[in-house]
Amino acid sequence: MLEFAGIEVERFQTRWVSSSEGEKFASIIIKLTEEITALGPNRKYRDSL
Amino acid sequence: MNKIAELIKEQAHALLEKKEIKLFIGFEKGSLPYYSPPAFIDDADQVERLIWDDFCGANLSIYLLNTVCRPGEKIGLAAKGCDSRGIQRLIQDNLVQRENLVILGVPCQGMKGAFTLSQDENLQEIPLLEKCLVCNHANPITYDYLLGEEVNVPARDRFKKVEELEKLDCDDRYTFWSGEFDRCIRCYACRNICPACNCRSCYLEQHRVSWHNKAVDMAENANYLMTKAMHVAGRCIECGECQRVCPAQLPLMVLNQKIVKDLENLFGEDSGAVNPADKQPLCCYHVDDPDDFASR
Repeated sequence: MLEFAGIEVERFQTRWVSSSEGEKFASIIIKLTEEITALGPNRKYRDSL
Repeated sequence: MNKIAELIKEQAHALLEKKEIKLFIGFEKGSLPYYSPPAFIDDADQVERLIWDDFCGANLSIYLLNTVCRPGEKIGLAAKGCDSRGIQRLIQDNLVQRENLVILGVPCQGMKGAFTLSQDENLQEIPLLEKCLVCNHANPITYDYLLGEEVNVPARDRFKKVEELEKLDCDDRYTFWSGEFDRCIRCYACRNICPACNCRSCYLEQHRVSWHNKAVDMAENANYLMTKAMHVAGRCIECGECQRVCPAQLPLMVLNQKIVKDLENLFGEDSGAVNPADKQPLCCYHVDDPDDFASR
């Protein structure tokens, strides 16, 4: 729905991680943070803020 | 059309007189020639108010939510294809029992509608409602009496507008939708008229939690409209009432049909929509449900 409304699909991604896979979780978060930071701040749908 | 009106009046009169139903919901003529609002008749003498014409586009099933039936009591109503799908939705949501209804099914080839008619516009020129142009349920899916012959309507491509938007790139989509969301006035008519919007406690009324900022600006409107679409995901019957009643004439059906299209791709066509015993795809789990998100 958000993608359909025009927000870049790379800004929200899903991964399946178990709570016992700590290292995998950390590396996913680091990687996604880098990817999303590279996209720049989101300016869409923000006029209330 | 007039033949159907006569059949409705006849049936409604018979049912009310025999006290088989306590209320009949149909259509009557409104204040203008192109208004045919719903009529609520509880007296056999009043059935002359009932009509059936080209402007009976409203979905009557929503009014069943306002009526209480004790065991043994029944309500009668005239139902087109979209009305019968609304009734099915309420039955599946356990808000109405089929035994409390007497349904007069009326096959329908489309209704017309207009908000206003300027002086030089003609009644005959009023177009079909947008929702009727993409309707695939011209015949009622449940009824006790069928008034009129079933109609054969060619299958329509409901997803044309959705596909047009999907082809655009994301910034163009944002331009389109932000322009539309900006025009919303948050009157909540779409929520009030929607048969699938039948939660006893709607999240919009949970003021202390304040799920939405009350400001009527583009971002909050987008928040509301997308949330509503997600809340009826899998349960939307595509009756198009939301789009018909919207004073800003927003393309709300496009939002809902995007979700319907995705669900059809994932779970198959019409799943949970027609047979009352079926469950909606998002309301139950099967081992073979698609789950490619898990493989990443």
